[in-house]
Amino acid sequence: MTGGATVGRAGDEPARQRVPVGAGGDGIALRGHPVGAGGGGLARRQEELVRALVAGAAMPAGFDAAAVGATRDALLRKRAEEVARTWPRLAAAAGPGQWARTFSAWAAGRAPQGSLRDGWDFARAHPPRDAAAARELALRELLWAYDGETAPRPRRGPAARLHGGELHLRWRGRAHTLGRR
Amino acid sequence: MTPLAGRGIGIGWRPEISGFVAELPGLRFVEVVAESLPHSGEPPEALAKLLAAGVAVVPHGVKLSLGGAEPVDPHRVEHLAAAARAVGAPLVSEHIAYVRAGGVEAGHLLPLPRSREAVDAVVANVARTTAELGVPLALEPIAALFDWPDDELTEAAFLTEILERTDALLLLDIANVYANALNRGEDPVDLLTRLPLERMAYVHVAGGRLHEGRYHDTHTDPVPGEVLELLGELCARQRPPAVLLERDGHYPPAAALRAELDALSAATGYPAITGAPAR
Repeated sequence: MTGGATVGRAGDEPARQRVPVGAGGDGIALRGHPVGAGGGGLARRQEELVRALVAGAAMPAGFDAAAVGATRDALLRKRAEEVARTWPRLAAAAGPGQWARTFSAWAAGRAPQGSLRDGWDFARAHPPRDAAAARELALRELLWAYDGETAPRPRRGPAARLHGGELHLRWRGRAHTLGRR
Repeated sequence: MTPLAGRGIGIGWRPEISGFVAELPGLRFVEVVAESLPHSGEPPEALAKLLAAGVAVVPHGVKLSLGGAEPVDPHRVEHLAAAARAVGAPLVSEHIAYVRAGGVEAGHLLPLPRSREAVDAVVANVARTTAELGVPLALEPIAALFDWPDDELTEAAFLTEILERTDALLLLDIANVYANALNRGEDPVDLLTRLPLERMAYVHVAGGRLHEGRYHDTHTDPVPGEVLELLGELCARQRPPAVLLERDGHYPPAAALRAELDALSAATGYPAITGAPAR
């Protein structure tokens, strides 16, 4: 398998991923099974397991709890690494070697929303005091409108914001900085 | 003829190591994470240069969720097909796994129950996918730290039935075979003797490490000697048409990556792609 999804989450739209459970029935049936309808409970079982792994739900019956727990922890570590790649200043501000633990403590039980939103939600919940991390957040807020619920959207038109003694300008979808640094 | 015949040793192309990859003199194929390719259809410049030099590029999907009970997202299938066209891919690959359910993203590949219902779900989703693809699809069995209590089939029977019913090729990850066998206390060679190895399109090799008594297929650690030995065992039974090294972070110095590529050449008998003298 691939360690996967480590490259370029840009262009991947989390908002599009919501498919109702049991929404199968798109007409494809093989060997007489109503595939996708979850007749044998596969859809429900898969959702129970993924919710136990990433969203804090109870462990479904019958699984090796220690092995599933090891997977849950590995998923959190991987998620922390991916968020650190998207939000390097935010991660560095946690202190040397501290990011995975700090982020995981907050992210445990919260369903992943992709590294851009995960880092953004974390930053809003823990407003960074570190100047570089605060700047990273300010530049994202300048370029994107994020309501905390759905995928961030690019902001339109020119804008200027004063942040930490710098003037941040948005011009044609890109950030430009004037001032000290 | 199998799509990657004669391509030998390759490497997973990632932006962080694109300079290293560009300098490999004997390189004939790479893989690229399909979801990382832009929707516009234009590959990144570094990939375009490889294509112009005759290097085959295989889009490798990680988010299609072929094993989900829910039908695959048509937009994701469309993107995979567009990625294949953009790089003139000889084939594409994806996993026998699911990555989301009920609108919740796992963020990684999750194992399926080895049940008849799961086989049906994979077969249906592969059919939805291949209907849009203009090239063959190879399916990769994953590594997992746990099994489902719902298992009805052996791993070999589960995989063989999926391959037979979908007519897909096999992307065998030898490190996954090693990881699963180690974590289950089984002999990895036993699975090799039961899989339809003649369907192999290519093979993945990656590193991992033991963490709290379990072997994790991290792709961020060196390839263990045991995995290279298992690759040798595989080649003794059936040499795969091509073999690819995957690395997904904590990139080592170029000399260490070159040494890993040369170790794949030594284990398979394929020519070194690093410029190292043939052994």
